[in-house]
Parts: sequence; structure tokens; C-alpha cells
Amino acid sequence: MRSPVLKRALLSAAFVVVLVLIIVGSRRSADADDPSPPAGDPLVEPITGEVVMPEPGAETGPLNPFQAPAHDSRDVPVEALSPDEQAYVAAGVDVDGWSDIHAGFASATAQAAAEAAAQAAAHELGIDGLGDVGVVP
Amino acid sequence: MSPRFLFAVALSMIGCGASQDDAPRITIGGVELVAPTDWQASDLGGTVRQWTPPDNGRKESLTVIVGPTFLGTSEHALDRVRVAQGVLHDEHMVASTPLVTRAGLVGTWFDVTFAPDSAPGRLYHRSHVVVVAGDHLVHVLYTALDPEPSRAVLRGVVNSLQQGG
Repeated sequence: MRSPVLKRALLSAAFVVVLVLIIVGSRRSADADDPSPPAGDPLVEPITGEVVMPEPGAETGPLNPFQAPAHDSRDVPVEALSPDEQAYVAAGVDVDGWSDIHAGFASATAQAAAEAAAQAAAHELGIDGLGDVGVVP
Repeated sequence: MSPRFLFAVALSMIGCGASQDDAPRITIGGVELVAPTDWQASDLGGTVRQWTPPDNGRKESLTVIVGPTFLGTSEHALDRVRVAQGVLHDEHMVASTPLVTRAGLVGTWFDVTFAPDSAPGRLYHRSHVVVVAGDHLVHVLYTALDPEPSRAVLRGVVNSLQQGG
């Protein structure tokens, strides 16, 4: 009767042989299914439906904000809108009174800039408390 | 004659009339001056000193501030003082006059009105004299609700200014 040690060694060797055969077999099948196209063929991949990405070179580029957009047949004329929608559009393009608003912001920012410059100058000169120093209430 | 020269001469004459040569001098931040007579002093810390009269119906005060070393030219520093007047609430620049003190220190006299936050609703008057003493600016501020017209106390202190050794 063979010893248990010899029996275990034979089983291990058989397992290794079977494992090697499986690996070699899988590599051969992978080589057979290699999808790489033959050299020289164009790289064309068949798709379904329409191409959703533009062709290279067909990009429109950045839009010029100072140029009216090109007419689009899908545009809806203002006259075709409801009265409420027309009123909304009219309010959006009404610039009456904007100059007063712009002047207000310009004045406020100029005042804030002057105050900041004054505070910077006072801090630079070491007279930060100039507004209240010496004031006897 | 230029207004600057006339102003300097007038300031010097006032200083001579005060005869402050024998008055006790104090030193603030390396600058010597004669404190206002009979006014009460309070030390605001650092290089800031303030005086007020005992009977202060005019709400007067005189403050001396010796500033840190300034950057750039003295002309630039004096111009920065003019810009700094913008921190005063409701500030109105009444006058700005160059001056030369009795000791030859060059500076500018600013007259402004403003409404301080610590006294809301009241319009105060301030005469802000700034002179160049070496690489420091010396500020002498006379502030009052009802200012004394001649600014005699301010003129006396300004004419007593001397750069310490």
C-alpha cells in the first residue's frame, strides 16, 4: 500500500498539470478571437441610427455676442406669442431707465472706492481713528 | 509774494508773540512741543496725546499724533493725509494751505467739517495741521463743535514743534 504522502504528491502534480492545460487552452482561444483589424484596413465601425457627433471641422465655434444670430426656421416670431408672452418680451427689451441704474451703481462704486482709498491712507499713516479722535461729544 | 510765504510769516509772528522759548517742553515720539497752557492732558497711548480745556463749552480738544515712518517722499505723505480726510463722515474740505513752522518744518493746514459717528447729528470743525519731522509726520488736530476763531492754541502748539535729537 502506498504511503499517504506519496498519494498527496501525485494528486498535487495532477492538479498542476490540469491547471497548465487550462491556461494554454484559453490563450489559444483568445488568439483566435482577436478583433484587431488587419493592417491597412480603414477603421470603420458599423453603428445603428444617425451619427450624433459632428464631423471633425464642422464645429460652429464661439458666437459673436454683437452679431444677430442667423435666422432659424424654428424661431417663433413675437407676433405669434400670446399677449402675456409679448408683454414679457417687451419688458425684457425695454431699456428705459437703465441709465439711471447704471449711474447709481457707478456713483456707489466710486464712493466705495474713495472710502477704501481714504481708509488705506489713514492706516498707512497710523491715523486710523481720525473720525473720532478728539471729538468731545 | 506767494500765499504760502505769507502764511508762514504770519504763523511765525504768532509764534514770536507767544514767547514760548521759556515754556516747559514735552516730548512725544521724538518730537518736542509746548503743551497748551492750563489744558488737561490725557495720554491716549503710544505717540498720541490729547488736551482739553477745563471749561469746555466749545467742545474743544487738541490732539497730537506722531505717525510711524512714512514711505516715499514727504510730498506724497502730505498728499496721503489729504486723501485720509475721506474717512471723516460727511467730510467737507474747507481749505488746504501749505505752511512752514517757526522751526522750519514743512507741512499743510487742512480745515474740514464733519459729522462724527460719536456725536450724531452734530457738525464739528477740525483744523488738521500736519508737518514733516524727519521721516515722521506730526499731526496736530484742533477739533471743536464751536471752534475758537483764531485757533490760538493750535498755532501755539504748531509753532512750538521741534524735531527731537
